[in-house]
Amino acid sequence: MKTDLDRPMGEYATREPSPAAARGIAQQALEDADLFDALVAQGAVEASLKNPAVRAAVSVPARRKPWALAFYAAAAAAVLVALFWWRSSPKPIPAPSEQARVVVSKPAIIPSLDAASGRPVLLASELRLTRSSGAPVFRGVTGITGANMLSREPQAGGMITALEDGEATVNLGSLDGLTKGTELATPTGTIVVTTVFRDHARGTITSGAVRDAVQVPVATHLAAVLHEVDALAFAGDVSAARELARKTLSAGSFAETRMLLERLAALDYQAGAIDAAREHFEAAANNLFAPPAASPSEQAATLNSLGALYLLAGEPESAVKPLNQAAAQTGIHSDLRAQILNNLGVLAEMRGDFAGAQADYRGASAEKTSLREHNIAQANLARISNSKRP
Amino acid sequence: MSETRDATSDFRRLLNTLGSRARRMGSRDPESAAQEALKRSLENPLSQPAVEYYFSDELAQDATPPAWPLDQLMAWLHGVLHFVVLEEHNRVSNRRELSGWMRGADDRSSLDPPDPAPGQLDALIQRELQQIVIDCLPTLDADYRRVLKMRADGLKYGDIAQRLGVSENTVATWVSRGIRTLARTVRRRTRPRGTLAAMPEGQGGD
Repeated sequence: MKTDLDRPMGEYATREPSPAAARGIAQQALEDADLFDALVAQGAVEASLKNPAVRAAVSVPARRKPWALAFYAAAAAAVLVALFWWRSSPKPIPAPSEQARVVVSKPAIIPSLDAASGRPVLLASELRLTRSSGAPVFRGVTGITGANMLSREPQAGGMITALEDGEATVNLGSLDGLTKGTELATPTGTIVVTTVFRDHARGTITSGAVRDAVQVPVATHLAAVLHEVDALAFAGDVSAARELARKTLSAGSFAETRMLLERLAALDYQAGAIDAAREHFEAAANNLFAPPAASPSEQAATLNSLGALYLLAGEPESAVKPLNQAAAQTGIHSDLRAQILNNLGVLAEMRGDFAGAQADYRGASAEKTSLREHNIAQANLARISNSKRP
Repeated sequence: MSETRDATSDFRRLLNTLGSRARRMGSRDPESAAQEALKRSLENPLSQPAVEYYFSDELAQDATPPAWPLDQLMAWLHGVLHFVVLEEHNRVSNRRELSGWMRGADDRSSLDPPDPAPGQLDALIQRELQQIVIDCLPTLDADYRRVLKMRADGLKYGDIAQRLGVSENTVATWVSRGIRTLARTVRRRTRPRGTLAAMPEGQGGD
């Protein structure tokens, strides 16, 4: 017996039926595969939303449909026409109280990440593209047309393709993060990798068979994905990099995927998806202590990026806590320390505390740091020292 | 054995349905897969009361409603069955290949992968359920995604309707559409994979 699922499933999900009614639905689902699948889907959603990685993925704004884009474009055009008409028509001078309201609703100072902006400049290296550390893997080739053709995505699993004298060949290689000594899990034991090629590898095996599934360790797989995400981003395909990072978030525990989440947040920012970047950095910051806890440097970098994003959005009060927490970390690199102090200076400036801002910029300049960090902190200090303040 | 026989008689209709799904997933022995999935569900102290309440062919008058809602149980059953069929596939493959490779290895039981601990099985099921949602996310309507985001923030559907300024019926409609899309993903994931994917359509139908 088939059910029209449109109403019953919505009502089931939103109205929580009595146990007796649910038993009736359960009996019905035994005869109706579509209803069974729909109940599985609803259960999968409710179970998955408890996972921070899925919650973060849900937070990414949905792609707009073409008709929706046309609608928004038309609406934007209408607004521009109305604005042009409004600006060109005579209008009364607003009353002082209205002027004051406008000034209060907009932050007086909006910082930038651009050193040439003439505004307070933030330092957050996490928001810029950086190559992940680790053994270099050749991931891209330039085709005949000059287009960059990237390698396949890292695989979480593969299979044994050949067996000979206790040595197995698998269809996974350096592209999948394998190195000499990597232990691949099989249904009956492990393969210890001895020789690695780009897309296949060999290793010793105690028991197994051709076509047996092999599993790459989660940490190895995630490191390879991170590498591929960077390669895609450097090739200019930020959209594909974000998509790969997003869909891999469920591949490990939250602690295991935290670095990937942070990278996704940085890519969101580079793609102009500021809200998604904030949400992803917030998700990462909320789980810095999920075991195993992030190192002090990772904590400081994530909190500094989150604080910088708040400042870029003109929300200095939201930035207070993450930036202060970042500054409280000990044993971090002087470059990162300089970035945090510089951003605390921007925060103080936005809150009108110019003396505090000067002190922080001086502190940032005094750190033994790279030339870029030093120059930006110096420029911020010079700008605030030369500006005419009330 | 007696437990299996009892389960067979008490949950005859559920076993038939699980058997159909196991066949669709590519199981070579769907009846055994269904029995194994049911056995594992009845062994789990959390899923057992829900299986008994929702699916026993005859429910006692004074039966206590279970802690698990129906959808949680259905997702669990899907996950267990999915795992059992994968396990069966791995076992068949191992036996076939190892008989030619490991001469002298006569202890066949050592070739079977060990049963996962309950926590491990739960983690495998959670991963399968998360993958359904993750795979489907890009295709979900913006309205349903907004609802999901608020659900993730802990809001109830009534609160969501109020916050979005729409009626609960509208939210229910959005949810229905979203679930329909997700259900298609569930359906796709119950098709055989790997070498079994070559099985002709219809051979594994309901």
